[in-house]
Amino acid sequence: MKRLQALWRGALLTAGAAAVCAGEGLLLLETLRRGLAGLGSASARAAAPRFLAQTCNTLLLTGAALFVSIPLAAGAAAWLLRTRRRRMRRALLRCLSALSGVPSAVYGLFGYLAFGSAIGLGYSLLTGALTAALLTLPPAVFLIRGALLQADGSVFRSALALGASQERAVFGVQFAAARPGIESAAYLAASRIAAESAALLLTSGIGDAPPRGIVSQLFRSGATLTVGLYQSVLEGETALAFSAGVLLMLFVSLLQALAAGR
Amino acid sequence: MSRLWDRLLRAAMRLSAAAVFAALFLLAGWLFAAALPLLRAQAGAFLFSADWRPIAGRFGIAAMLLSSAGCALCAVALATPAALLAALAVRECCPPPAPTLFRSLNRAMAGLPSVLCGLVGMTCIVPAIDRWFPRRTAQSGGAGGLAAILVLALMLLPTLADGFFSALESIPDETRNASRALGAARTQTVFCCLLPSLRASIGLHAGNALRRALGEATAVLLVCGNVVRMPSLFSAQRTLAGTVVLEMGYAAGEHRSALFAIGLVLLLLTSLLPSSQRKR
Repeated sequence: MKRLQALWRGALLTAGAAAVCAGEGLLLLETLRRGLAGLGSASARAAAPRFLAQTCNTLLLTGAALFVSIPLAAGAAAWLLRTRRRRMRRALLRCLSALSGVPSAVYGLFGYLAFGSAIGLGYSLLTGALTAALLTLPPAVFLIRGALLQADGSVFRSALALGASQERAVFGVQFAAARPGIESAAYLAASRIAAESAALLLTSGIGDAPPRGIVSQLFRSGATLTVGLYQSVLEGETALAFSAGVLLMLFVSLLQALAAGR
Repeated sequence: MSRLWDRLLRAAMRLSAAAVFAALFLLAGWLFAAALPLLRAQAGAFLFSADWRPIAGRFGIAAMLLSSAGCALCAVALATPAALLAALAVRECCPPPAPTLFRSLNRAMAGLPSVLCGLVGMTCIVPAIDRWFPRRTAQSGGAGGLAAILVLALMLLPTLADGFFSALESIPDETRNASRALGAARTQTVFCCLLPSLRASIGLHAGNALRRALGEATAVLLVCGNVVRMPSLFSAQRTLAGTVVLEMGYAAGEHRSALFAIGLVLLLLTSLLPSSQRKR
């Protein structure tokens, strides 16, 4: 009887592990197989300028979004740590966890309304970057807060004892101690933005003209690699989409490795 | 001089905290304002009618709402046990290199774009469904609820598995040792001792997964056929988030307002689910 129980429990565990391995293996191997086969083909070579433009757009949009979201997140995390108003702190935490559950399509709608039409940026990389900044704000605040909490508290107290003001001690000393964690938060936020599709589809549009200058490109519509992938599927170019998928896989794993190495 | 710096820094801190508050309230308020024209005209029909014909001025989301909820619930119900069992099996019963490998694989896969899952679903899962159930999929060619559920589950698996794995890591070794010392077999330890202590984190991760599944637009769009119809496993259908992405490009007037109202419904749905607040 007992042996029977152990047997079916073991079978259950094996089945779960097999299901997960099968699912993830399917995703990984299928993308690699078809993507690598597609990368060398003539159609992929013809689409190279498009890939290049999309890669530039991805880098530009990610950079601009991080430029907005990381300082904001750092400020909010520092405020969370240092404020004495408990109710406000709890309210902010609740607000952040509500924001982190909002679907990305809803962020896209809001970004389109607020940055696209109210501010008048239209479909542009800048609209997309601002929306992406909003999208990554909640996880970035949580990660930076975690990094600040884990950083050695004794440096903070020593700074205070040496006569630094509260603000100086937070921004000058505690942030320096928490720097690896903040960097890894930035890399994770970047990988999230690189993987985003619905929100950016609604805000930065699907343009794929080659960039001429950084500033002028920011005000034009441009697809990132992920949006480009979706767009090529809609156009029936499955092979191209898989090639973009391999590029994205490389990009995202690079960012994740950087984040883990910190 | 340094007093000025202190003030500036303090103001910056307050400003960024205020920006987070502002983001949530502006988001909800602005969506509501944009959805208002339609809600004022036909709020009841919007929620309870299944008739979505923008050209005729009919905006009923009931079918899409059911389809969204059904696909998301089934996907979570499929992916959560699988991820949980896999995490338990690898963390508790596998020799050393496997757990580290499992963790880094899951981390890497969780960062992949969800569209990629949709793409793989389109090229692998949809044809497979068509092959397995030829009679049922005569009209849809395999696209439909089942394909959407499988793709969503595929998308949720790495995140869920990583979450359960971390939860297992945080259980102290004394618990396992105590259970083994009482004479429990390895599988007994897993099922009678570790599984019950994971209860809280199961709820947390399943809630987060459900939220992600409800809000997923592009991956589902690629495999579910995109016809507004009552949900079923084998016929083409469409979800709420998918409709927003699909129709936003050309919508105007009341139609556009209806799409913002869909956004509002999604926002309400995801915020009504149990909160994912982290305990520290």
